[in-house]
Amino acid sequence: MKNKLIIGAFALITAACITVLLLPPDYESVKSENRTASTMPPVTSESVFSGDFAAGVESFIGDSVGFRSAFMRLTKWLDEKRGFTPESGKIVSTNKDIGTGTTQKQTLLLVDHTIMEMFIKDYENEKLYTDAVNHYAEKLPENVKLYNMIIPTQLEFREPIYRNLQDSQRDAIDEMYGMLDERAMPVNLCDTLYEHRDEYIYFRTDHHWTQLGAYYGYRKFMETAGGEAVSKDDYEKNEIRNVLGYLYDRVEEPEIAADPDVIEWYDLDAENISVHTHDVDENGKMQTYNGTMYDRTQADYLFFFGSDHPILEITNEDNIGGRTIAVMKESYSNVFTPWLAQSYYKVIMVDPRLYRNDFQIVMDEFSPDEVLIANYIFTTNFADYCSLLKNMY
Amino acid sequence: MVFSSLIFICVFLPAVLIAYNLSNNIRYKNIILIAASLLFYAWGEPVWVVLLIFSSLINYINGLIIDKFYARPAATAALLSSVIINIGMLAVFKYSGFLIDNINAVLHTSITNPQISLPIGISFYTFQTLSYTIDMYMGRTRVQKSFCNFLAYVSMFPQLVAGPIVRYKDVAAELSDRHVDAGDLSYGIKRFTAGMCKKVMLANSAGTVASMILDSTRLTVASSWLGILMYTFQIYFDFSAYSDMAIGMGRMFGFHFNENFRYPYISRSITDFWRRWHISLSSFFRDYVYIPLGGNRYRHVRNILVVWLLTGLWHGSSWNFILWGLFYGLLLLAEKKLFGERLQKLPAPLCYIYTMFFVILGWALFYFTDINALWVFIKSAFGVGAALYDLTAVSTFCTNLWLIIACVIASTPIPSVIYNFICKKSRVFALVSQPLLIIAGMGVCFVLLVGQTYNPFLYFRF
Repeated sequence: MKNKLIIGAFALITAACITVLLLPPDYESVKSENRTASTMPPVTSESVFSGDFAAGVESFIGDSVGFRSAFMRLTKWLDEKRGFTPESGKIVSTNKDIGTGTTQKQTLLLVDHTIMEMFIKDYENEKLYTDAVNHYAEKLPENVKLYNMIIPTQLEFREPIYRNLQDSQRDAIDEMYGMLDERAMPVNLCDTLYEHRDEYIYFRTDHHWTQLGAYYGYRKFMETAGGEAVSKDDYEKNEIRNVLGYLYDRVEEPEIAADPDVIEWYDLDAENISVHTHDVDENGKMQTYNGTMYDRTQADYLFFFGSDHPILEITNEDNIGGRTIAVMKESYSNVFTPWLAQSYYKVIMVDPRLYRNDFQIVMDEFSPDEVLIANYIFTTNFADYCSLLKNMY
Repeated sequence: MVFSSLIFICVFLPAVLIAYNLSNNIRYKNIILIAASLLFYAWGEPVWVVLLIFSSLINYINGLIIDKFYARPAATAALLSSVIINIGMLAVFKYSGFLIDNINAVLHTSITNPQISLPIGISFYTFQTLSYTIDMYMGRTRVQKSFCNFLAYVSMFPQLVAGPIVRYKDVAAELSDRHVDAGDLSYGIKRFTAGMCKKVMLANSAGTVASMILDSTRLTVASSWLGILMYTFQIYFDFSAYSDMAIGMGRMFGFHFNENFRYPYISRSITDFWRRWHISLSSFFRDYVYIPLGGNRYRHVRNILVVWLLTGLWHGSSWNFILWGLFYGLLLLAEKKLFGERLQKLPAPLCYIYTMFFVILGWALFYFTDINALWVFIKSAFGVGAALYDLTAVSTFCTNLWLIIACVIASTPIPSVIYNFICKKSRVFALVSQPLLIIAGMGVCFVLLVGQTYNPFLYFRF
């Protein structure tokens, strides 16, 4: 009797699990992980023998589970029950991906309703990153100026008790700048952002800087590049309230949800400024589509340009005859380039994660006078991003 | 494929169990087992199936030769061939890179490292096939004339990639004659579920904390010990869970595998620890290396050091594993030659503290494959240039306190003793508790497997 009950129980729970797998997929939680759901991989001899097919099938099954969102919430709830949260702060281990295909471990510090990534210095990746930047220094025509701007995150500017839990971002940035070719001019943001550390320059629930933080970055960049920065006070400031960012999705702390972020944005998309997105088709020809600086249908960081794009071209008709700058970027620059557009004729944003063609096509099409490689410091830790950046040119 | 995956528990295992039980013909059952095992093995690394079949074929043929020419030179030649091929496979696929790197470092040469990826489970199945030919040669077991049966033994998926190391003679009879009744099936289900819960609920959670602390470059005294304590739990619950699941599934298919763990963290000495930890490996080295070398009767010290050097090397081709093996060799020698008898007279709590201190320290040698990182950890753990504690240590300890307590309790026989006591008091509880625990346990594991991204099996890399 007892044995039959045990066998029956096992059969029942296995059948229940299989049923959940067969139910219609729930992709909501996948969206909140800032990625698209895995699809069933094609069967090819190459994919089977490399093991990619097996990995793909497992990812597909994992993403296709019915009630996945509910299971993810339950997992988080169970994780919370491992202990209790001390008042001094909480450290959470999770995963991070920046859309390059790899995932890294990520440690988050939760203090004062703020979620902050903890930085771990990696000399090997520092070398890969600076090699990629130096590759541009080597290949760009002599008349094109090259800049590198590595953006620190807010934990670097917190009190020592918190800041000292991570490796010094300032030291890592200095070390990387020290490895740059003479031609690549570094943009030192640490002191600038430190001066404004008490202002709302970083989101509390997201890893990005705010448009105000980006403004201080822009001023420092213009100072380095020898140009004149506009004043933020000349632009009207607007707000989007009740925003919970990407890092919030990783921890889902109720206390933080009760104290959401505000997206402050400046009226930088004047009528004289146009935005177009581009991509190169299979014949190597540049295709153009209409774009927007501020996507007013979005109520989070996607508000800035709607998302990331392979190539984005911002043209300021007020600056005809002015300079053109190409910005090699990830999402950190999406709040930065609207400022830059006020000082340049054209700003060409190129995202190495999405643009999978030769950078020479961009050079031929737009003939930039300057190239800025701008990344937030955690991007420099992704070896595959560094490869994408380097191999693009 | 790993046991703790959705595809395994929802697709692979149910399909194999159904197919396996469609007929009572033992030949049919073995063919299903082989097909399932090869698919299981090939799932992530199809190429190395060839190596697995090659190893099985060579050792099968050598077994036939040893049987035919028993006690004659040809049998010795077949045994030597088996030993050379098995050890050679390990040398090429597991140690060649390590060897070349060290030759290059010492002799300043520039021999190209072939960068061969380690075939999963090679350390386990080479030892299993070695046990067959050696036992054949020593007259401890009889020849297996059916290649199908032999391949079923070598490739058997429950224990193929992470043990326990099942000796041929322990399952020889069951390869050609076995039956599964409701008692076997329910026992197998209970062991499998227990293993799954240990792996998914405890090992993965402890592992997340351990790697978060130990992979950081900012260690304090407190965070160092907390990190390595969590790794201590991770490696035990991970590996013993795999053995539980292997033993459980073995029983579902009619095989009786020996126990591989007996609550190692309640050991009263290092000697005791190694009688309880990875028993199938330590008994393999005892029977096939230590005793043939002379055991404790001839060159005892040398024999112990050789065995533990090999034990370390078996775990990985890296200096830290060699250090880890020698660390235990020296501790065992010290217990045997210096203070073993005095240790037995000490109060039990002191013995537990002594044992766990060295076991935990040993896991540090095991964790850090980079000797520089190991040195940084050891300095931090003993307060050299490190603060006593920081927010990481305090926060991580608090946010994982119930997990730590659960791990401590689950490392001991206490849950089992309490459970059996209640079962004796209440027949209803005894009847319904296990089915309910299986539903709850597997249900929670399913939920966690959907949500967890950290799900490695540590012993896969050996």
